[in-house]
Amino acid sequence: MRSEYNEELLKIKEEILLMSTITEKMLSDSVFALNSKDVELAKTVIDRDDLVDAKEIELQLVVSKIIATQGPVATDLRRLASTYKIITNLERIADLAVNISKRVIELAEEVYMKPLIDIPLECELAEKLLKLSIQAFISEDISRLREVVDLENEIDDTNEAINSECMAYMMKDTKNIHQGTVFCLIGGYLERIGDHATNIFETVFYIVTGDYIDFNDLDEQTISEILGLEQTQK
Amino acid sequence: MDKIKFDTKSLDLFYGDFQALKSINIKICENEVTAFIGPSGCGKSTFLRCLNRMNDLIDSVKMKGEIIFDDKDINGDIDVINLRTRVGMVFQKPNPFPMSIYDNIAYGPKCQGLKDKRKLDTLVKESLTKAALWEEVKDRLNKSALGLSGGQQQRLCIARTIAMNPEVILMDEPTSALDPIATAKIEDLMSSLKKDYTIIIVTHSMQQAGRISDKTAFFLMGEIVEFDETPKIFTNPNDKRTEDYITGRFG
Repeated sequence: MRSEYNEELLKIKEEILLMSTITEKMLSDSVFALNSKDVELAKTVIDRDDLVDAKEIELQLVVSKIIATQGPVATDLRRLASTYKIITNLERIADLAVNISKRVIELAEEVYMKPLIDIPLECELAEKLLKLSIQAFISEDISRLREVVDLENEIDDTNEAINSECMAYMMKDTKNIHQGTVFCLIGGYLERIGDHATNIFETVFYIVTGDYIDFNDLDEQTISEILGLEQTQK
Repeated sequence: MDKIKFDTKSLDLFYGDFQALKSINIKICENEVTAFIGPSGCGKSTFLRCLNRMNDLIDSVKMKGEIIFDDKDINGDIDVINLRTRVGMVFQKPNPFPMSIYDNIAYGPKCQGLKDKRKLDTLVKESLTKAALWEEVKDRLNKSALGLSGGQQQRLCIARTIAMNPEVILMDEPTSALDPIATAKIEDLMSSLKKDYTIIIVTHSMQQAGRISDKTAFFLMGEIVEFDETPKIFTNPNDKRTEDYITGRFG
């Protein structure tokens, strides 16, 4: 029943998957460009932002139309209301990838003060977290909650490590201050990307359970309780 | 704690051999709007009619269980006329009497012995005002009620119910024959009336149930599948059958 409506809902999921695939690639390309000093690649990341912005607007309009015409309730309503949040978070992630790419262009002529190790690692963790959140959205499955919480903590720790290391280099030689500041900023962008990816998982949690929780407040006992409950409901 | 107006306990109802209601247990609170939703033939109108014993008029109906209204079982030894005065009803199709607007409202109170013209005038004005119709009809009270629009006729029927000073108003799909503007007026009216009355409404419109009711009961095949706060039912119902029905996937 309601086959047209069901198709519209399915199409939204497909479009979000497409939007997130573009965003993920922008993210990995921006850090790859940083590592390889590939200005041309960085410029393509900046160009691709228009695609993501257009997709966000397109999806907003589609969701508004469905809400206006189909009167969604219950899980459908939660899915559609959550779509607004998910696409906003994806759009912000794309913006942050653009920020990283702009820094690549800024540093293009410079010799890096040290080989980049933690920034690519932080990027890898953020990508993993984003993939996991989008997979959770597609399958409406929150069983990987613990991994999300762990990954977010690892990203925060890595960002801290980047800040401390850059600080040490800047104190050692004032010539490092510009680069050190830029690398700290990039670490911060990646940390925020992790936060946006976590927001997406929080939204999936709302779709599945009807409840909102702040993952920053989750302790091990609460995670176990949630996962135990989820298992029982399955 | 909200005061319970109706407390139904293990109510079964049979039309001959067919069981139309199965072990209905529901507490309906005073001064709230309670909506009954469910597919056609699920028992929601049957249950609504139980609440003022309208089913007494059908010979083959048999009932078991209790419906406690305030402190008394309405299926026990009570005065049915008095019950129907306290529990008024508005039907799907507006059914004004073929008489003037004034007489439509005054008829019931007159039958109950109210003769004083001034008191009747006040009652007519008050009832029409409460039903948000006074301003539209005050200059033509002696004209036939049949000349009113469908939405006005339905508000007249609500005014006629209010004139009997009921405690509860039962509404069986009261807006299904009305256009969206008339529907909006009736819905506004329900929100304003609930401070004085307990309102129970059967509706096929999910949006209407969502807009106007405090609590919603989902009926299916003679049973109440789920009864909860309306926002809960429409955002996160507990039962998959409720979800399937309200999202239109019930097949």
